[in-house]
Amino acid sequence: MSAETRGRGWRRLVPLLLIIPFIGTLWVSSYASLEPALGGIPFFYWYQFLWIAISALLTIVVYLVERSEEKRGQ
Amino acid sequence: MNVTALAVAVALFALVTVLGFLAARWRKGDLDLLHEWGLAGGRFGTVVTWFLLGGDLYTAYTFIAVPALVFGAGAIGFFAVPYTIIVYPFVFLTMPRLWSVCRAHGYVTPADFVRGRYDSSTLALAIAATGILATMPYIALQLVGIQVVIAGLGITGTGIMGDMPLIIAFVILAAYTYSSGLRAPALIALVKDLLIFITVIAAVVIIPAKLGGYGAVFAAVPKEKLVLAPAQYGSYATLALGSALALFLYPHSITGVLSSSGRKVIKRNAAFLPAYSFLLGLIALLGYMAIAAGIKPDPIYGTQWAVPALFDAMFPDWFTGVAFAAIAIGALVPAAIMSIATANLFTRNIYKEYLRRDASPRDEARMAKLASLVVKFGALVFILALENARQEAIDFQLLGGVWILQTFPAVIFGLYTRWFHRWALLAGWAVGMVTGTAMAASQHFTAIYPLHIGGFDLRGYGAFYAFIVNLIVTVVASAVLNAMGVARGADETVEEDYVLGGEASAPDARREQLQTARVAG
Repeated sequence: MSAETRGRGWRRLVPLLLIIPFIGTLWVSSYASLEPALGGIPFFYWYQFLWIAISALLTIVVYLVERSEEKRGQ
Repeated sequence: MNVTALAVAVALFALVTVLGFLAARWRKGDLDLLHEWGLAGGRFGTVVTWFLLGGDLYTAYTFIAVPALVFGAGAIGFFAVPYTIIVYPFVFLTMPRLWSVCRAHGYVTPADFVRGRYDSSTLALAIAATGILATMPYIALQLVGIQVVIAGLGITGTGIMGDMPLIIAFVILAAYTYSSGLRAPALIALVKDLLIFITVIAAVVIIPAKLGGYGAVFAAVPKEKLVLAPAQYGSYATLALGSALALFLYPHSITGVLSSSGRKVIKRNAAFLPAYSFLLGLIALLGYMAIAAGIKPDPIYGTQWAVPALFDAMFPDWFTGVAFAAIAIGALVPAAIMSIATANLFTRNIYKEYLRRDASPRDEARMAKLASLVVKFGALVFILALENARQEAIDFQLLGGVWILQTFPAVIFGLYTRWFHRWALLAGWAVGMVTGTAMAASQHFTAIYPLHIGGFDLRGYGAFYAFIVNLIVTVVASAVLNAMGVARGADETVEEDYVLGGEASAPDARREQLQTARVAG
């Protein structure tokens, strides 16, 4: 069996974490504002930079959970 | 003419030329086979793939055009950031499946997969032709990127002499791509990405310091440019989503994915490629720095002049040379990969399918090398011969984005389900192509289509709306054709092909199994 079909219980839902960046970045009205600014950088800009990191971290989490599943299955 | 900058840029260019030719010996394989020439044998690990995809996706044109858009239009240009955020979760979920099925069956192009999945060479031809059409103007735009840099170095001239630097650069590129295949851009991408990282990090430290800090940079930009108007929200979101869904349908992106050595490599890269998105966000801000520095649009190059002019004004001469070389080399890597990917499509899905069915793997490689030359020189002639070539290339590249997104249902949905009917996919593709092209043409080739439904202003990315139309046609026609029992064709893939592991032995075993089955059958 493969990594994709082997997941059990809550672990099967882990890839759903990858939907979060879509919500965070495509819900434009939630962040299209200048305030609160951070060190002179308007909210609109630093908030989206922040999402680059959040999205990468979520991807790493999903990857690590999948890998531990694979190891357990072997 | 800026002699110091020119000398540094020429020296760096010479370095990558040597690398390009030496690449033929790197991880040596039989370059007379298409799989080796066009995918480097599919042996690239996490680090090489990271450089290769980074060098491939974040092109010279990106580095010129994104800050140019921010410089000219403001916040809307920042859509490149959410675009390159959401593309990676998408890659994480879909591309390992594509990699597995391609490895199991020896597919080199997305059209190869579509042919095997749906048993339809016509649908495969549509996918291949769309890929070629969408990529050609993209290659031409890389030339535009080099042109801007050459002009930035102060080399001007009329007639053939003025075009000479561009011609020389492209002839050299064509020569080492021909001899080394995908190994050349992969090796050069290491240099390119390092130069780009150095340039951008220097730029975002030095330039704001000279302009009085980030606060001063943002304060210099008019308020209405700094933040989106509510009427732009839909455009911003659909531009980001549409572009993200389209990116990994481009042949050059898929070539990058398929040249990797396993599913894990792709997944790790989905986690680490966002480093380039961070870089891209910083590059986008260069547009505002250009405003703060008082740069004005150029009479010839318009807003595209913003970044070269900013570097020239802010950096010492030698570092301007490094920065310009980074952009020019940044054009060579994607141009090489795009021409290879286009050549693979032509060879596999047109030449072998329609012109010479009995072509041996060696014939394929020979044809692909030739096709990669034709594609590059086609782009060169296009840029040099047409009066208004720069604008034409930009318009066509916009259309390319519209077109390539129309291959989404066949390629991406095909990774998960066989429910969609091959003729429905073809019909949806055709309707999407026509709708998207008409939408773009009606707006004089701007990306945003002012859609109005029942009094609501739903302006957004035309490519995305064409994709929705495509989806509706595909779903409805599939339901009808399936209910009528129209022949669906044989599927040569099985579910387990899509989840085959990254271990080299597994796919080889599966391929042997398939070959045995074929011989037996």
